Amino acid sequence: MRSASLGALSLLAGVGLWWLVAVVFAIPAYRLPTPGAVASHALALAGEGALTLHIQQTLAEVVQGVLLGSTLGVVVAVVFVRMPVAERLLMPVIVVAQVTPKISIAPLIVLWLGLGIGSKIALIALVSFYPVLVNMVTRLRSMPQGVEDLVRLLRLGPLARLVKIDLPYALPAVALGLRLGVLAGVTAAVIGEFIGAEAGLGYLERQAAENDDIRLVMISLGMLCLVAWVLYAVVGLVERRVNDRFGGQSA
Amino acid sequence: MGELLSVREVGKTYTGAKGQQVTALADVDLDVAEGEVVALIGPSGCGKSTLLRMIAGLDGAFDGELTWTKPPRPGKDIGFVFQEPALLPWRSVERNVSLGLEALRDNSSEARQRVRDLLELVGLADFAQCFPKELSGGMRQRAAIARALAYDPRILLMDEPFGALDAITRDRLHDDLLRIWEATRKTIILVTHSVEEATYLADRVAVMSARPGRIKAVHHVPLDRDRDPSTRRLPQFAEFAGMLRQELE
Ligand SMILES: Nc1ncnc2c1ncn2[C@@H]1O[C@H](COP(=O)(O)OP(=O)(O)OP(=O)(O)O)[C@@H](O)[C@H]1O
Ligand SMILES: [Mg+2]
Repeated sequence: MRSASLGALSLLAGVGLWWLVAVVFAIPAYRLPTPGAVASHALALAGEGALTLHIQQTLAEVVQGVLLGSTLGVVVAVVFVRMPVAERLLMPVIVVAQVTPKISIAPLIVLWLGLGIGSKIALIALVSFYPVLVNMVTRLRSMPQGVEDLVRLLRLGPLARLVKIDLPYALPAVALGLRLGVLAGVTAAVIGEFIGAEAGLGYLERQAAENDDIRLVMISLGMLCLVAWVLYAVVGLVERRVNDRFGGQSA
Repeated sequence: MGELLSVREVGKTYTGAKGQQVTALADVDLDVAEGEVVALIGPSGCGKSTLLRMIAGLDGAFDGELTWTKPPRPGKDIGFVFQEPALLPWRSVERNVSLGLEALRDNSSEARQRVRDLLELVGLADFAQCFPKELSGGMRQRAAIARALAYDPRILLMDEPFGALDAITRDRLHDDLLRIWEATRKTIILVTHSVEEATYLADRVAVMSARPGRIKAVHHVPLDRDRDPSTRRLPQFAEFAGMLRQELE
């Protein structure tokens, strides 16, 4: 746990520096409030329950979007590996959708699906789908010859093969894709909420910016950071577990 | 013993990554009788694994003909010990061994007992619930041998199954294989680098040469079928093994 305490220490140092800068250079509070001022405002807001709704909203968006996107990624990966024709037909479309800046797609999705949670889920699914797809396809394509031979020797049917071999073998790749997908997903959630929303931390931040409420901007930003970090840590934990059990080559 | 398999003028050419042609096998002829143990020996890269995978039906793209008098039933009749153990890392040893039975949807109590007996046989009974990464290389190979035997195939194809084992375990498994053969009279084709192993286990030994892989000669092992560790000390044993060694050079 040395690295954890080290991390906490460097974080504390950062906050200390911020404080010092704010006080020593006497920067006005509407430009750079002190950490104390931000924290006490955050506590007050949290006490009123004004943050809960927005945190819940963003969390719900990311969790549902990433689940939808990665499920799609797994399904499409299996189809691509079983039917290379499908990959040749669809991959160009998928790549175009991936290279297009998400922020430019967001207004379209919001127009189509509205200001509610649906448009955010769609946007997050769009960005978290790709890393799962690509990692899983690569992993399935690199299955050791011995396992490939075993499947054929035992005449495993397509379904048995999927359940007993392909999915467990690909789980580490899915977990990796999921971790990358969560990061991209939080960004996508914020983009979606900036463009048009009725709740969420990105929405809150944008409102605060329009009202010149720098403390609230910083609070929203901090909360987003926290949400992303927690999700990333949880998925990372799951990934380590999965790698432990399912990872490695079939020796 | 009736004829089981005849391999006629079989050849195999691989196309390498840069488009160059590699002739792995050329004009291979081999007959295998039912219930016979045939050893394939030859230098590395002479196409032993290639030939074995063809016989198992894992590679259909070759020239020549493979004819069975009694074709093996898919998924049932061929047990294969691969050159690498190829165990599934997420399954316990026991569940790796019973994969073939699962594929046949056989979860009878006899099948489960069989898996336990086989784990006992290969000395892994205490490791049944362990995962492959917790095993040594030799233990993994033994698990792979048990897996190939689990569904009681008529034909056993083994690609250097004892290569990674220490001498004592190897000798023990040799005797176990002889016992299994005596009890079941399976047809066994065994790839090996060891002339002693070929001599001890086989009825006939096919010696291969490299580039392109061909069968140079097939020898009958001049030993009684009843073999036990004292067989290794017979003068004919040393003589035959010595002859094979010379032929390989
Ligand atoms: N998938 C492949 N693509 C191209 N060439 C191959 C392939 N598999 C095998 N070869 C070539 O075919 C030849 C025979 O290979 P094979 O694996 O059958 O040899 P082997 O006799 O089993 O060798 P070893 O004793 O080292 O296991 C080798 O020269 C190898 O380079
Ligand atoms: Mg080989």
